[in-house]
Amino acid sequence: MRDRRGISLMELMVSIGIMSIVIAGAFQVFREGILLFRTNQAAAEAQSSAIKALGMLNAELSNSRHELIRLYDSPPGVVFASSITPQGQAQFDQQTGQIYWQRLICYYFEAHPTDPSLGRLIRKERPLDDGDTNGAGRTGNTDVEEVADEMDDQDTADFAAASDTETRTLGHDVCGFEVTEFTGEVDDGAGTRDFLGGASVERKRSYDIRLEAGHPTDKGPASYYIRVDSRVTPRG
Amino acid sequence: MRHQNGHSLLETLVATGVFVMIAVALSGVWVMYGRAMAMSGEFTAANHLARGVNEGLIANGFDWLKSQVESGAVPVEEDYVVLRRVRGNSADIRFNILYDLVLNTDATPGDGDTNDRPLIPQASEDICWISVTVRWHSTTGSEIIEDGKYNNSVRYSTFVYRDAMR
Repeated sequence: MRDRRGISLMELMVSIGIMSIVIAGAFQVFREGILLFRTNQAAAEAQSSAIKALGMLNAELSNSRHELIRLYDSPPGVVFASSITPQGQAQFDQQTGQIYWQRLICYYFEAHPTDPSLGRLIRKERPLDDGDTNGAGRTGNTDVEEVADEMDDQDTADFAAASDTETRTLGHDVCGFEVTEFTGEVDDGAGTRDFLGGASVERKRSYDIRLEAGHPTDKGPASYYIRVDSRVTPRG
Repeated sequence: MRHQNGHSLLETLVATGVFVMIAVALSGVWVMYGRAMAMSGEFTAANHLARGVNEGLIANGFDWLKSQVESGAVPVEEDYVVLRRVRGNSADIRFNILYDLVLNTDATPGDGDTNDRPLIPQASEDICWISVTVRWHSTTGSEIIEDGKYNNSVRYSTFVYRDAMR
């Protein structure tokens, strides 16, 4: 093999300079790609988390009944009675066949004091007072009016202030949560809530639930926003 | 300065080829991960919609379902959008919801693979079949395009009995 001369200092510096420019460019592209990937990942996780939370709320709300559902604005949320025990069962009065209402459940939006995109969706619950209709070994109350009266004393603000209730955080980075009664066709400009029958279809009373996460107007490199709607019809 | 052996052109080309192949393979993993994540999100949202519509129909009870069939209100087709913004740019997922109700008066078996209803054995006006199909178009979907628009779908089927939901 023939001998070759090594490279000069000038050649080395020029090649290092060119290589630096190439590497810096490649790094910038790579960094941008990773950042966009992470933002997409955060949006996907927020969407998945929102759908899980809505699925849970839908399932619980569909087992309630209209007389035992209350909607509130401050903080935004819903309080309703559930006939399902913490063990996931329902109990019935053997004489009358009426169901025992077991718990009050509250879902509400807890705003972040400084950043509107860092709110949380909170679920709290407390057992209902036993009525005087209990059979042996049964908990809860079969009297709907009594349960309704008990509910009227406890709104979302009461649940938010309570520290002795079982608490779960169902969603982080939440920026909006609302539950409204579906009254027919809804036109919010995007045509996104008028599914499952419009005003022309008369149906049982239903509720529209909307959950938003992220930041709706921010266009920064790590910003995202998702909105998921749901409609639930209580079976009770 | 002492003499050294440099790299031959062949060595340089081989090294570059190996480097490029590894880089491309690694970037492919990221692309696959991104596509899988997008597909998972779409199916999660589609299942949420289909289940929600299905439960909503069941909750209205058999008599309401029957009235919808008899008044010709079904099938119903509506669009729904899961709103998404990434860096201020729209990345919405657009779904099409199609639901149908059929009174189970015909005992002719469906083949289960098409849109024929999967009939249960007995024919009865006291059984209503609910079918909810959520369709959407996705870059991660198959190449089979349905109705000229959609290449992904999920479908929920339910039978509701008169005496079970009144």
